[in-house]
Amino acid sequence: MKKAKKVSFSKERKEYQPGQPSEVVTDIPSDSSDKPIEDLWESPGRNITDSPKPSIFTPNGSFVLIPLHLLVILYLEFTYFNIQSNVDGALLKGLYLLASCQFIYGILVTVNTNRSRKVSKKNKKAKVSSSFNSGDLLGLIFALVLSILSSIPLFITFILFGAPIGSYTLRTFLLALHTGLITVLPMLCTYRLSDSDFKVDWANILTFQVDKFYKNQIYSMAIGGMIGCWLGVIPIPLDWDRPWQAWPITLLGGMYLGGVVGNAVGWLGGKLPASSEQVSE
Amino acid sequence: MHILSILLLILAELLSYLIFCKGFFPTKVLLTPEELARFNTEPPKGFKDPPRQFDRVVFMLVDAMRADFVFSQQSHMKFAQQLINDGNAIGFTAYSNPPTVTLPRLKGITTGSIPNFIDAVLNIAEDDTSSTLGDQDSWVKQMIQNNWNIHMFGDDTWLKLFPGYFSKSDGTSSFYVSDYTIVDHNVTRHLPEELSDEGLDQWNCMILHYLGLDHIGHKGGPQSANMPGKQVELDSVVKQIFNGLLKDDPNTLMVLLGDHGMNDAGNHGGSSVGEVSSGMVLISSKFGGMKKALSSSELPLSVDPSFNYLQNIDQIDLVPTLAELTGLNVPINSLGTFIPSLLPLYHSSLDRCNVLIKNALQLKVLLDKSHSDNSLLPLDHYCNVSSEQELTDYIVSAKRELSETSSDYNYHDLHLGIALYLLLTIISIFWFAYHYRYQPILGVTIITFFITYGLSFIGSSLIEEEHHIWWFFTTIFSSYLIQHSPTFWPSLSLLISLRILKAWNNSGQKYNSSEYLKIASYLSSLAPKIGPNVFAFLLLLTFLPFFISKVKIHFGAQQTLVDFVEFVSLSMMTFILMTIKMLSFLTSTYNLDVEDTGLQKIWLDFIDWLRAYSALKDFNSISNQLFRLFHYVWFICAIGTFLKSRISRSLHIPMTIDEYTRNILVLFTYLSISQTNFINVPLYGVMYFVYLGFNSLVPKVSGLRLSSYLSLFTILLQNLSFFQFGSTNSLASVDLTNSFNGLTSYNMILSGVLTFVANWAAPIFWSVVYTVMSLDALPRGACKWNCLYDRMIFNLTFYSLTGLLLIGSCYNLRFHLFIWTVFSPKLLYYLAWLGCNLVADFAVSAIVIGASETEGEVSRQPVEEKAN
Repeated sequence: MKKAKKVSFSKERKEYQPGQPSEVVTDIPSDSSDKPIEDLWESPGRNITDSPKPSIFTPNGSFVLIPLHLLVILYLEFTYFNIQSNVDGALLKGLYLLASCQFIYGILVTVNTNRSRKVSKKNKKAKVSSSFNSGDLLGLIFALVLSILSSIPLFITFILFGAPIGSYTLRTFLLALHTGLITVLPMLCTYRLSDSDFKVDWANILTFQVDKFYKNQIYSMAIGGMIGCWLGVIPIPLDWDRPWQAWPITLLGGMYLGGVVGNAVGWLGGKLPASSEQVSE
Repeated sequence: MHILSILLLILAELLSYLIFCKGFFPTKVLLTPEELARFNTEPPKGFKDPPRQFDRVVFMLVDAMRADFVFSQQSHMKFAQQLINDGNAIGFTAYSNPPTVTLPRLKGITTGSIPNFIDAVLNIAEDDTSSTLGDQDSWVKQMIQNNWNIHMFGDDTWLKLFPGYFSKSDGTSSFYVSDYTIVDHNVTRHLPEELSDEGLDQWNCMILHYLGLDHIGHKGGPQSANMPGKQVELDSVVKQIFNGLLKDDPNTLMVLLGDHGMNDAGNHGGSSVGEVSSGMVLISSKFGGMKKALSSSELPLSVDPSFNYLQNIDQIDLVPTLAELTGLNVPINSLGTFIPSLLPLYHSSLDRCNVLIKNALQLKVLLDKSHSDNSLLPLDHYCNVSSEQELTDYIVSAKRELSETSSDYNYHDLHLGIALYLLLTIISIFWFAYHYRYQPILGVTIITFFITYGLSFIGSSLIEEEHHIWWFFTTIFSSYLIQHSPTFWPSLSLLISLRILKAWNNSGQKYNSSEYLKIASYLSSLAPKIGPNVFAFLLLLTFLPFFISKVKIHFGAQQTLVDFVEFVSLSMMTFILMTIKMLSFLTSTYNLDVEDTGLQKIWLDFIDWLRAYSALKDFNSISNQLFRLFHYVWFICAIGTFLKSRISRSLHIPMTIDEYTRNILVLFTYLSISQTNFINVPLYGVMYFVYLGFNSLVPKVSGLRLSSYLSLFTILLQNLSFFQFGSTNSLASVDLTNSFNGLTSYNMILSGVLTFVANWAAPIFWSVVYTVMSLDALPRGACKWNCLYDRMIFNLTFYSLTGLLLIGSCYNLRFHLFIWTVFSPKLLYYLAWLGCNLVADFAVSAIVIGASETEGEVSRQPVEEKAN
């Protein structure tokens, strides 16, 4: 009976399916569909892949939140900062511009997504129009600092996913800073440190357990930026020998465009009819 | 059984692929002297060898001399241009048949044959000594047979091609690409002596091969600032030879030519117009007596982007021309035709006809052979032998026909291969669809991945940089895994070890140079004081996990004699392997022949100890002996491992599947390590951690879903590590360093097997890892053959879909510029992958699974059906 230990990969699953022989356990969702979903969440051996967690707060979409300034910065990177001939310098100058623009954008996000789950629907509307107070400002500055710090884990992630080290380390780090400002800062303005469920929200965000991500304008912007950055590597190995194929110009472009596209998708997704019920629940 | 029909499909796939390849690479059959005698026909009446025009030849080859370097306005070779304008020389734009690399081009220039792609492959397969032209007929050989004395100065490729042919030579190595003055000075410094009166008595033919221009091109391109100066220098050499020799001696011919051209980046090897348009100038003061063929064009000519300067000829036309002008026999395999603008050198019409008849007779032998025509009609039957025009037409058409058969595609085979492959692809897709009928999303995802990968074959740079594609897919797959079961340490282990794997070697073409430092190149550049210690430490780290993973099963359990024997053999293999790899690290990284090696004492003692115990001096024979020892121990262990489970079953000694798979993993890892280049050996430790990380991250599923994950992971890692071991899709990266391990004499089959294992070591490792992982995860009672069955369906579909896209792409792009440089090597690499699929993925896995003894063989139902 020594072998019994090796019988299946799904030891954890046994806890909620004691009646079934282990070898027929599979991952197909229908296995667990007969059980109420809530039970599965509460069960101690809960596998995070089983089903989506309760949805984290989805901020209201708004046309104002589409980060069109990213397009302008990207355009300036290529024309005014001349990234094709001076990659490091342009990345750095673009970073200053991006940081100031993202700061203003952060104010917009803060004002637009100002939320409290306690307030009712009517109150919420009133809140949206409320002004930007000093606490928000402090939170925003804190978010800016945090998103700059987030470039360190982002940098490590980039390296782990294949970014070159050596002569390109500085460029990769600058790219990580750009990424932090584009993806992390708006998220921190939406899911703030001061929120009571900050930890749960961010645990969900970092493990991509976000319900209806296509309706979450800020989250889909971050995801879009990441995917754009990821797809941006594709032109690099092609033998066109153009200056813009240099590391990490295509990734930067992909991230900026991906951020804008992702944001727009989130905005459009938020306009889908089913959304209003889901958010209010 | 299903497995058998899959085997049949794999074999059929391989067969149809081979049919395609046969049509794609038609082999060129060389004429042998015996056949020459058989197909020889009587010369027409009144034929006699035309009188020789020259008794001395100066053959000045300038590497990579493109036509415009001599003829255009940008050229700085004013003296050569002046010679042409004065009528003392004739200039041509000579077409060099690709591959435009020096060695094949030298073969073409001397034998007159057109090298085809298979030649380039055979070049790799042959060891160094057999790449000579010793047995092929060439004008060099003809000269030697007629007692000419040949002096050779320059590129040592000539010495390799014609060993022992030259009575005096000074070879320069072509590897020091950064140097472009000394290589040429080494040639030019001989000229004063050779052109002196005493020097002239000693030679009839002098070959000069200048490399500097090529090196400048590689470094800075055709517009490099060093180019004008180099052209002036070469021009002065021409002037020196002309004034010192040719001016007063009308019986000396000088040939100035480039072996190939270069593209705008200064590289060559492909078939772009710049690379195939080399310049050729024939110089002799005798030409002054001829009436000028092209009086209209006065040099220098304006720059022509399509490189049509003066007359266009084929470079191989030089071979019969040179042979006839010097009164030699035309090399038997030459496809060239006598250059018509030199015919006026012969004053009588009879001589001119005889020149053409001589050429025609030589081509006719080849033509008759290619028709396998046994009627052997004489030449008069085909044309009027007293008409220059008809003879010229005959030799031109013969040349065209012969060069077409030697480089054209065999469309019958191509179409047959594609049709068969298409049929097999359809069958395997249907089978796949049936197999995945309960997992449609998974199936569609997998097929999408296959097609995405297969579509990369349409781009030449995507083939060149294929390792990026695998890295891309591997990271997508690992992020999927991590996102689904985010456990910290396995994720980190997987990501970090994958990253180290990627950082170990360069791959691809674009950034594959030593300036992009990688771990492997860093290791071998360490100082002798520290390097061996670091490498030994890494070796220990590599073997440790495998050693422990095998030994730890016995911890705490009661030891039997069998366990002890196993332990001893394992330690022996480990020790031998570490010694071999350490030795090859020391010998290849440091120069051990010098007095002060800078090594620490322990390593010097290590070497002395090895020498003392083996009683051998030469490091190669020491490691060869060690390899033989390793092979014996390995075979005994392999037999033991495969038999052990059977025996222990019959003796009712419990043996877990765990123990068996551990043994298998260690056994095959050691085999792979033994055939791996020493610098890549630490990667096995890294790959072991990839395996561990993956094993704990893989979703907790079973049945078809699990084997799909495992198969996907295996195919990703097989390819990724294949490229990260330093291989590329270029034939240049085939590793031959481990091809003769443990062989006492040259054995083509065995060394072929060893070469395959050496280059596909990592894919074999991963294939075994798949078997190990799926056997470990096999549910009790499930049929063990399902592991193989699931994977073979997966692989069959992968190889048929991507293979179809590859051969379709090659067929579609068969006139593409890069067909010989990028697509054809990929076609051959893919053939080896198909072989890997058959041998490693199917045969080895089948043996391993077949020899395993699981308790649940009673149940024959496929697992996936039960799962649903």
